[in-house]
Amino acid sequence: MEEHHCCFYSKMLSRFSISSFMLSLVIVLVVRVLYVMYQCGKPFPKGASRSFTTLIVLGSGGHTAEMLSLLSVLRMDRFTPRFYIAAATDNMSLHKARSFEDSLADKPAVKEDSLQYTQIYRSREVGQSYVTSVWTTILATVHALWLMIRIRPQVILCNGPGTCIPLCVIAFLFKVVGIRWSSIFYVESVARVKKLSLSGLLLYRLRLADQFFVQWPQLQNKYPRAHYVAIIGTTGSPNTLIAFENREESSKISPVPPMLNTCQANERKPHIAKTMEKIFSASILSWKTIAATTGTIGNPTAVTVLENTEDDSKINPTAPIV
Amino acid sequence: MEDGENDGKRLVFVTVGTTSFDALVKAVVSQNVKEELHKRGYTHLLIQMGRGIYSPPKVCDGADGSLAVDYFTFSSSIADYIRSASLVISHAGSGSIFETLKLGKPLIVVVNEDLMDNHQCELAEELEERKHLYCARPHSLNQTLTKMELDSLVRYTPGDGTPVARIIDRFLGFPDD
Repeated sequence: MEEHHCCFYSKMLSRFSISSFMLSLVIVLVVRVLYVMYQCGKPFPKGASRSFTTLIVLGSGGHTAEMLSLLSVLRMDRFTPRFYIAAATDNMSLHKARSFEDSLADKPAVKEDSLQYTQIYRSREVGQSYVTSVWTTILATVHALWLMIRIRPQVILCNGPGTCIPLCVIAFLFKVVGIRWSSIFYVESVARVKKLSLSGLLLYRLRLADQFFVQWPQLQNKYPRAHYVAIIGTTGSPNTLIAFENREESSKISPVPPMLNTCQANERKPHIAKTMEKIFSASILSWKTIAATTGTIGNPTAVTVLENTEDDSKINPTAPIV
Repeated sequence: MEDGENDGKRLVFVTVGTTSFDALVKAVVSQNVKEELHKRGYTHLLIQMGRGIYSPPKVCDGADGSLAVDYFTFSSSIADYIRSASLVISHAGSGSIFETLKLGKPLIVVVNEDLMDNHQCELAEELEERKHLYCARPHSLNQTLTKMELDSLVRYTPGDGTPVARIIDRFLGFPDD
């Protein structure tokens, strides 16, 4: 009888201790999540680090071009080592990133180990059935987790492709668990004028992005936590032009800075500007190899005439953002 | 704005990007569009047709003074074609749009109405409002051409990424350059 009592009490005790343990765990987790959310978006102290492990998420279409434009104005020694990630179905983005990195070519010896290009599985391809997408989503999540454990980035740069969402969520979990603190910078694509993309909306609403940039004033009005970065110089209203960052600085910014700054930026890095021009002469460039093998179909004379009229003096240096 | 002239040749370059956009190709080679282009002094029509299956009829340098028509699928030197063109008619992809605007060429963007998630027309319409380009649909291309006044277009000034870089650098605690 006594034994029975004893057993009963020990059961009660263990049940109680388990539930109290669970409860305290939940409380700790919640506090930790709140703390992480509070700390997100807080700038680092001056001189926090000399360089950051950087993860750069590329995407098809104009995304990669925009991302590399952004990279061309960043000081790359501060963002080393760099890991480029693109969707497994996207063959051209990593190729473009490689061309971009080759154009930097300052210290080739250091570069080899500090650069990596990786493809990531996508959870769902366009037109894929929902039944099979359960399996592919699991696969994609595991793959993303494995990549993130391997890379443990301190900085994540992304601008819209859906592949950035699992990576950013994992980055947030890493912050909560304490594996790695990272900062996420999100630049919404210039193609988004009135509405954010789904990725952008998620990162904004869930406050996963430490700094959020939009390229149109309409979007900044809708999403006030976003920074507005001007892509159109002279036609935008001057108010929105200078509203992008610290108000106290507005006096220093002339109403028409973009063109000027672009020129300066390209003077500083003319080789990059030139390569960017080559890499992104058009969005169709991803078809370079196909065009090379098939050639132009049809009457070649018209094409050769056109090619002869090429005039390098008219090359317009690529603007950093678009 | 128009600096693509070469021996009296005035080229209209049509680009559909990596996709297929047969409705646009059909629209540009329709008789009334070709006539309107010819009336405006254009002599050549070159079409990058992408993955489209509709091949327009080719017209060699017309002795009768009509528009010469040629096409190809893809090219790695689209920028060169844009540079040599006097007018660009493009799909609504942001890459093609900004490439053309940066080169300072007059641009008509034709929105593909068959696309499901058509956020691209937002961009074209916004830029049209700012008078950087004309925006049309395949069926309204002819009207757009008729009312088009190239002199009223406003030259686009490319943006600048340095503010983004500065904000990121400051956030991470780097000193300003």
